[in-house]
Amino acid sequence: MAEENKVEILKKVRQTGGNVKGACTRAIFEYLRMAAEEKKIKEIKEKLKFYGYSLDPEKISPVRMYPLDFELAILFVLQEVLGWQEKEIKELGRNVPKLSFIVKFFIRYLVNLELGYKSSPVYWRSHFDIGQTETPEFNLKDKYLVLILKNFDLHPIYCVFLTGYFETMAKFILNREKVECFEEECTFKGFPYHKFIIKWD
Amino acid sequence: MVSNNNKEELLSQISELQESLDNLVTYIQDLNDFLATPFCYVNALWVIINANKAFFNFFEYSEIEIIGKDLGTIFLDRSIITLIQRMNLVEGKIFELETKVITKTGRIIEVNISVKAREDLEKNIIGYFLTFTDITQFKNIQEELEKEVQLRTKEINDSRIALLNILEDSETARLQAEEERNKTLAIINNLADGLLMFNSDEKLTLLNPQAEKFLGIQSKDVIGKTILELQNYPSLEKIIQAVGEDLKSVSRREIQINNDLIIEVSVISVTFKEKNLGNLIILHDITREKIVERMKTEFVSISAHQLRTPLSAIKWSLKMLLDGDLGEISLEQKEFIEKAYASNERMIKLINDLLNVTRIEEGRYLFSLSYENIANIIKEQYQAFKELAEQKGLKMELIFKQDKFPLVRVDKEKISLVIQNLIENAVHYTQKGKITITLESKDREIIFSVKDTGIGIPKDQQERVFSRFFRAENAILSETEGTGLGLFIAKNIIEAHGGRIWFESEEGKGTTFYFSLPIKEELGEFLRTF
Repeated sequence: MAEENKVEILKKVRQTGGNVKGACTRAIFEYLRMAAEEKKIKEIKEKLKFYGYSLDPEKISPVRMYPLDFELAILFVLQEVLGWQEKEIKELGRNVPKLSFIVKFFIRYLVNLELGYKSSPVYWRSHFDIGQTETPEFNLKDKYLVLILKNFDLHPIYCVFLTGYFETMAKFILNREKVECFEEECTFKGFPYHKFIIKWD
Repeated sequence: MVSNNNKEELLSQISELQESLDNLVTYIQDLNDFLATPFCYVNALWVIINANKAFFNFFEYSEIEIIGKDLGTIFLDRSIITLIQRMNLVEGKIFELETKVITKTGRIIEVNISVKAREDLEKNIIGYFLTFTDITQFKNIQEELEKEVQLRTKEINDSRIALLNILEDSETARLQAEEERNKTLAIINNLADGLLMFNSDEKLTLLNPQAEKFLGIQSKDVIGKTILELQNYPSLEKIIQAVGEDLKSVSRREIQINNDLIIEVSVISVTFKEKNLGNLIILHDITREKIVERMKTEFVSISAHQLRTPLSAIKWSLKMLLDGDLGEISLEQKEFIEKAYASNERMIKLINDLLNVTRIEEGRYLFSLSYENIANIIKEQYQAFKELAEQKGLKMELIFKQDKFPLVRVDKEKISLVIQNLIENAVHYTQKGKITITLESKDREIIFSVKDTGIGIPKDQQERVFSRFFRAENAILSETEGTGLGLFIAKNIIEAHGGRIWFESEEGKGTTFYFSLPIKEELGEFLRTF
């Protein structure tokens, strides 16, 4: 994908006016500190400036809201600078909740899977100021649940990031080693919303 | 509707709140980084949700490796979680327990865990705080201490057993010593001799029953008393007089305790490992021996007296025959009669010697003392034997080392007998060579000697020379005559004069007999008689 397209996409997302808590961005960079060299991190920050984001991602407040396109821009830059594909982006999504202050704070109160599942709309609202989640199906017997995300059309790479993110969130409230999340339906594939399936053993 | 002013005020308040929240987040993060004690927070499903830097360092996991994992990951034994679950962890209460945790690299660490439950508003437990304190060093010290305690306990136990063994051995040794002591006491109590033991302070510590019987005293009355105190007992007084107050070593000194008891007293010094333990007085009853001896002496005396009269008669009869008073006799008859006469003479001499011995033993060998010139007595005896010596081809010499000798107080007859015996022996037991008789005055003594070149006295028999009836084996072989009483009589005579008698001899080379007599000033002695 050409840089011009990315700039266009980011511009479009910014126009939606959506924001996200800084905790996620901070967690991404904490992860990068473990996964990438210093010069690559510098390069990433330079590239972000190129896209028009002069904020230092490591100095933002985890509890304040920041433009959602900033976070999407980071994913684009990681693909460009580090050559990350969907696999690495999903892995990033898996690790961000482990490093996020807000997640750690919020997750304390989710004492079981069903409660956690039902609390997901609240959780979403505490992080994002656009989009809504729904909890249409919770199947304890067959060990899966369905999570619907509406009005949240950023970019397919962010959907990959979210599958990793949801997997870890589910692990927190399942205490299972094997948890898998995939996006069954996506707005970028012509569906009216995003439909994530989370399965465990 | 919210007015613009209200909206600005609200935004300002939100901004302040966000700032406070930022500060709080920073504060919490700094605190997490700073706290040296590893801690973590697990949710109600035992998933590790949060932990501090010290925790990651302690368990060697990175944050992303351990967050989201089951708490059991860090426990060596997952059942510890069940144990925590069973605790009644109500809000605010902290429980502590010890367990082992395992790090990422497999290190097993003994830890003390503090657990605190967290509850929601409905009092449901929503998670747990856990802190971990490494107690490995403490445990090691505790183990070392326990080992040390065990070791010391073992040592104490071993020492106790050893001590018991020593005590047992000591008890056995004590019993053995007691048994030995009892045996010794039994021997002492049943001994035919009387024993008196004085300790180094000269206090009486033992008086055996026989000593009680001899002395007519009771042990309980005298034990612990000093020698000086014991002198008040008449029977003991005689003993102490005999041995002296300083209990000098005494050997076989006779004491007549009473008419029916004569004892022989000896004192020996008792030492053990060079330490003086005191002195032992031994009382040996010789009453019976003395009675037998007296009876024997009386018998010999009576016999000798009875024999002397007929022997004198025989002597004079034979003399008359030899002198021809009863008619002329042939040469052959004369030869036989001379032999009979000589034998009779020997018999008379033996009887005389026996009588002398019995007198000595009875204490009746009385001396008729007077101041005599001993040189004259010697000359007489020298002359008497000179002819006999020359007949045997012996050279006989008389040497007076001084021109003049002081007078000595002697029984002339008895001293003559001594000199006669010594010269006679020299002549009899010397076959060739020389007999030298010497007299000298030296150191307030008169010293007489007879030196011969005769058969000498065998070394192994020299000790018995002055005993009654002793004759050396070589003497018996070379000379059939001799009673074996001469030297015994001589010794008694010389010692009765306060003198000494001794000899030097080498078998085959000769013998020298000596005696000495003390020189006493006539005037001094005279004055002493008053």
